[in-house]
Amino acid sequence: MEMQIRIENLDKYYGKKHALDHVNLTISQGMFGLLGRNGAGKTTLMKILAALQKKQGGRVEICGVPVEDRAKIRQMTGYLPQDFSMYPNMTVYEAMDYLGVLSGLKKDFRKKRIPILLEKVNLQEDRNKKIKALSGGMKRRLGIAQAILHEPKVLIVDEPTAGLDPEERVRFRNLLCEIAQDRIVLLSTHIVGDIEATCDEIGIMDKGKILYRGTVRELNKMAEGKVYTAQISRRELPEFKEEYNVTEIHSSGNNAHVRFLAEELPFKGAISCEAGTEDAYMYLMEKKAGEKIVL
Amino acid sequence: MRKLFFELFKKECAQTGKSLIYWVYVLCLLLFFFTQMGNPGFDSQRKPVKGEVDTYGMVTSTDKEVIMEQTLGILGQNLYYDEWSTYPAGFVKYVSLSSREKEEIWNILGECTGLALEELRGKIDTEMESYKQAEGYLDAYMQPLILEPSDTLSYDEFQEKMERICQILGPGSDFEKSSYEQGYSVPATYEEAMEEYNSFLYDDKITGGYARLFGDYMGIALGILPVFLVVTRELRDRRAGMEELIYTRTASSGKIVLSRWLSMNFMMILPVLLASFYTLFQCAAYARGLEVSVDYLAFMPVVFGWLLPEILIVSALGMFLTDIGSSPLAILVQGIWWFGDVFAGSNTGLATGDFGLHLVLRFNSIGGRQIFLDHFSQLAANRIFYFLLALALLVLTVIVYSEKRKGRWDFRGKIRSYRKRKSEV
Repeated sequence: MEMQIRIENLDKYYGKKHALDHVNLTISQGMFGLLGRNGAGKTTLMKILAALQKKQGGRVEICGVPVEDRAKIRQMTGYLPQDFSMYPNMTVYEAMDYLGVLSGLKKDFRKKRIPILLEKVNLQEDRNKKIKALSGGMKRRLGIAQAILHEPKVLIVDEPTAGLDPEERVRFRNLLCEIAQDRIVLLSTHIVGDIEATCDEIGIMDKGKILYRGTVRELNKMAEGKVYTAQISRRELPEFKEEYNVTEIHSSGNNAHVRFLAEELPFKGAISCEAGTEDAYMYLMEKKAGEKIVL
Repeated sequence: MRKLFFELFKKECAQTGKSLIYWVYVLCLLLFFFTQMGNPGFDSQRKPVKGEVDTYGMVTSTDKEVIMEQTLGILGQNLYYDEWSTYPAGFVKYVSLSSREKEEIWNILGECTGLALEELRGKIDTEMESYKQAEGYLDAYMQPLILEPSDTLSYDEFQEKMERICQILGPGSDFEKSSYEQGYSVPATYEEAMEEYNSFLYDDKITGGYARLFGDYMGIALGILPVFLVVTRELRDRRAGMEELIYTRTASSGKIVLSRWLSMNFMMILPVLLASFYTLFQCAAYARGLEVSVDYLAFMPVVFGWLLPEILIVSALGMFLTDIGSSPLAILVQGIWWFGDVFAGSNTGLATGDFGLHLVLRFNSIGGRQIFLDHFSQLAANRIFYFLLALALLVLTVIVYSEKRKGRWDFRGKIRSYRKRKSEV
């Protein structure tokens, strides 16, 4: 069976709103990052892949199985929603065991698998802790453990690092990379740093459309020679922001150090610099969506 | 697969057992039980003593003379208060009559009693006023008025007149043959009282009568309490943020819904069973003194045949309404149904055996075995009907749950997005 998610001309409406507009995407084994601002359609796409939403047009197949075959899709996919928790009075182990039964896993299998997973997400020592006593980061890690409990081929993770402190975020990213070694991991986020650190292959979404599909390196290449830095007076800043797409501002006294996008050397004193993923993302959004993102 | 279902059932039972609302349910149920029938009061079932007329109690008479005078009395009482109600499908329906119809009923009553209208009105007014003065308004309302039929009125003629009354009022009134031929309560003679007492000891074996009383009391509490537990359980997934984690599991919607429903009902019947043992042992202790053997299984049909279907329908309706609207609306609906039903049940009498389609079945009597047996088919039909209705609602709940897992039927989400759109505008 091919390890691939194939999406062709996918359409989804919420009333009159075109939430997904003829989305075409192919995702292979490994980490795939889906980047886009809030409301771009990422969660809708993920919910369709997790059989939680119905599509209105197009074709979606996961490892050769159409998403309409929900029973099989549920066997093949693990899902970690953006906002989730578990019954607060259950312990970590009880919650995993309950979800394991709902996944049709036999008792012997659960007994072996749950401790391994809790070890993997570093929660083995907290197995008897109640869910209500877990921190945000611990809950997220438990979320990952429950999503891969039934050994799915595909793991769908929606905005997993939102609200985590930097240390937890790094730990979480590493965990995802580890898990992605033998399956497809689809990571949705609006945080460019998460994608940059974990994914080679990415897709960028906006207003229900895929604006970009390729590698991070190729994305960065698109912004090469378009990123500049300059020192300007703070008084000039509002006018400057009107004219250029500013990606970074550092203020110091009456001066501001700005990083911005421009098609060619904009003025004397501006210094060309290497493009980062965030610059490239901003450049793409401006170029393809025709909108400037104002900081 | 069956093993996994049983595991899921056990986990759902454990969840219910750990929830605060379940223990509130148990507490309320037991509180109701102990305050209403904790001490069943065996003194009321004393052996009649010849000459002590007050201890003979009441029996149901199907004597034609008694039927005619009591039925005409009810008609007179209805005319006096101008209040008319029928029970077409087991539920109360208030009937409003035109002055022409009322006039016709007055004439029929006049013909039946052989009294002129003025005389009849005067007699009813006087008797009702004297009741009010002696007993107060409420007791006067409950006190049966007796109007003697005319000497020339035959039972066949009486039946014809009552048929006309039924045509005016519509189906389900007290004036239907099936209703008045059930008989009326009259003071018992010593022989009748002895017969009733022996029936209590040797036919009912003591436990039979108390099992019916147990069913009567517990039925009142079980008509409302289960809905609180069910609604809380069904809303817990959303409140805990666990909905999507469960939706994406491989377990079928049928398995999830059925395991929850069965486990909740199992947990809810446990304290009922426990309370029944309490009364059973009290009966057994009382029977030892009389050297009578009790029926140790007498409470089982009441618990599982009378009360369980009530829990099943209340829980199935609660689950269905909660799942369809993702809100606690079911509590309001059940509250209205329960209140209306208990009220209507009290109106039809507390031990008449008029079970109809009532949710809460009333039979507030330790005696009355024969009346109960005469109406047993009605009770069985009622419970089978509610059991089947519960199953139908369960199937609908599975369909709704399954659609929600696909992202449809999310009324709450739709209302939220509508509000959002409105506020954006």
